[in-house]
Amino acid sequence: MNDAPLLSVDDLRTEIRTARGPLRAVDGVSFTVRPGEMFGIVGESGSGKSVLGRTVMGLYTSGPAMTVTGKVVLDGTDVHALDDAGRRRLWRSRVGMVFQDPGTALNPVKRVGRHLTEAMRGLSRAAARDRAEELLRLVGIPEPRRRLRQYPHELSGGMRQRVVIAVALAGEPSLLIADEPTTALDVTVQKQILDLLGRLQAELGTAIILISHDLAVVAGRADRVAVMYAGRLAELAPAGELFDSPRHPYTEALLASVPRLGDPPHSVLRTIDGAPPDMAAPPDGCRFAPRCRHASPACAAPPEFAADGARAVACHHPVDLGGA
Amino acid sequence: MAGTGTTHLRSGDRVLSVEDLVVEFPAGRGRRVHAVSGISFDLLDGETLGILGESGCGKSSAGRAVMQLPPPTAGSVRLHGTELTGLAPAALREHRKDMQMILQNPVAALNPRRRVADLVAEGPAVRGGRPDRARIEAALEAVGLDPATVWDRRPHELSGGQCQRVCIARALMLDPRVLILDEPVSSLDVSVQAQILNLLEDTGKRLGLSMVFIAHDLAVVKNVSDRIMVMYLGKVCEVIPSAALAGSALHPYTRLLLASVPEAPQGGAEPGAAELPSPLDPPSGCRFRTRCPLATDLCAKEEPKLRRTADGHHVACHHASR
Repeated sequence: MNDAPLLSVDDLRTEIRTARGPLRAVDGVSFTVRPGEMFGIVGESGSGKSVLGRTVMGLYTSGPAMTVTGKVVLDGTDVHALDDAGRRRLWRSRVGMVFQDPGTALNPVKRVGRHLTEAMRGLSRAAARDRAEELLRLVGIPEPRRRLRQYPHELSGGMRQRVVIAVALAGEPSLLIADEPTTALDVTVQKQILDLLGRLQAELGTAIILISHDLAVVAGRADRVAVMYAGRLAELAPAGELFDSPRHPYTEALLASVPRLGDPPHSVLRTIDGAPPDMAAPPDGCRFAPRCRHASPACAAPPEFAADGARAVACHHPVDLGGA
Repeated sequence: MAGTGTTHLRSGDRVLSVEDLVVEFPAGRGRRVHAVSGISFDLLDGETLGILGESGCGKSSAGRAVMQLPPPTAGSVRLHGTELTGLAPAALREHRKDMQMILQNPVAALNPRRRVADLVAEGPAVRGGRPDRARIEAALEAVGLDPATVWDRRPHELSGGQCQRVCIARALMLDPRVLILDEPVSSLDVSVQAQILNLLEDTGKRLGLSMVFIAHDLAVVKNVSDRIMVMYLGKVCEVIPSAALAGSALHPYTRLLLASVPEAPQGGAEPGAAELPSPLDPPSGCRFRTRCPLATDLCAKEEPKLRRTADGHHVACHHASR
């Protein structure tokens, strides 16, 4: 794998203006994604993971509703320095997005074919249709020619999500941002969509940012995983290491709170006391400290996101490797 | 799958017994949605039965039909030996009090204009006696809420997890013997999900409740249940002790579900992009045959009946064998 990053995010902050004052949804996040990498971002609701995805994409940018500071550089292009036309060019050809709810991501009055061809430039009508058919075949839709003529409501949820992925792939992007792509789908369909994303990553070499609240979804697929809590990264590590030996107490607690098929029935689950902080007035210092078993007076100062080889953790008292 | 069949029903002290439950909805032009097509199950005192299946399998329709919301198209639902179907409304209200339901979206399940204390008091209040303050406080404390903090709050001032606790407190105010839980944790974050699952487990044990836990998440269902009933397109595929789910499941559909869990290895049993057949016109014979790797002509002709393969383990499949 090439070490030059495809995407680098540096000290990104997204501040949303609300009636109660500014809400720092993303508050100083830095990471890089390598070409062809599957990069997972996990976090609970309100952790800022979706805002992060949209800010990286350039869908959220400084304006009346919010302020974005920090840098997002995709393949040499500073996403937040682009004008509107530049961003549209970027979305057409360099980065695609897959949304959570395939039911609302597609326009109900446009046929499948139209969704695929509208962003294509410089192709004849017939060539665009052939290309659209090829895209549907690529995402595993049977009878693609017939599907092109159908409307979104004629497709099942899984098929719609395949169409959304095909639309995102139409410009042959080098980066695909998938925000909870399987949350609205049944388990058997979820598996198909995740396998599809894995196949696209392998066959096309597309880098994918997979955002999910479900640790298991990310566990088996991502190369590296970032855990987000209250607008900041708590921990970043290669997927296997993160799940085998979490270093941030939040990651550890989150993993222990998920029921597992291998555990006997009626096992008591670990819980995390308290609730995530109010993002309009987050605590100083470590944001997880009020809920943390290991918290000490040192946690009143914000922990540095300290890198150690391939891993990084933002904690004054990281869990020891190889045992908690 | 299919199955009909009642070999898995037990004799003895059953709190709830459901036989040949059928739920159909009119779909216009004389067509009918076959949501639940003849399922049977029973519940012993203090037992938790998990009902597992994907969307459209009829698990929620089954749960609601047991509650008589609305009453099933056909079949029998007996609670403590009293047949609920066909009871007059007043008698139904009296008997149904022993059975309470918890729904998936706890925020939508609560009246947004009412305060927590009133919401919790509502059950006894409509039955003619508003409970005293101490009883409401005890109910809130039992579900891990601080009465002083939440007393005057309205649902929008609470988190999803807190709303689900209020729903549980509300249900328990009527001293039910049976809880029907329809996806009670699927709209919650994982850390909150763990809190609610632990709360249900503790409460169930403390009060000796029997529960029907309906959900699509295999690990969650396995964690809370003693037995699991797997449903597909309105029928029962398999009834299995939950400890045996991961290792001994026999029905091809149960196995497909197990292979689809994200932590399962990639690839594996891939039933293609096969889609769920329409419940308007379900396949003949075994309803799973259109997606089944084991399907033969027999499966189209004859519906498999549940048969016993081990103690407490029943499978509705012509071909599955251990």
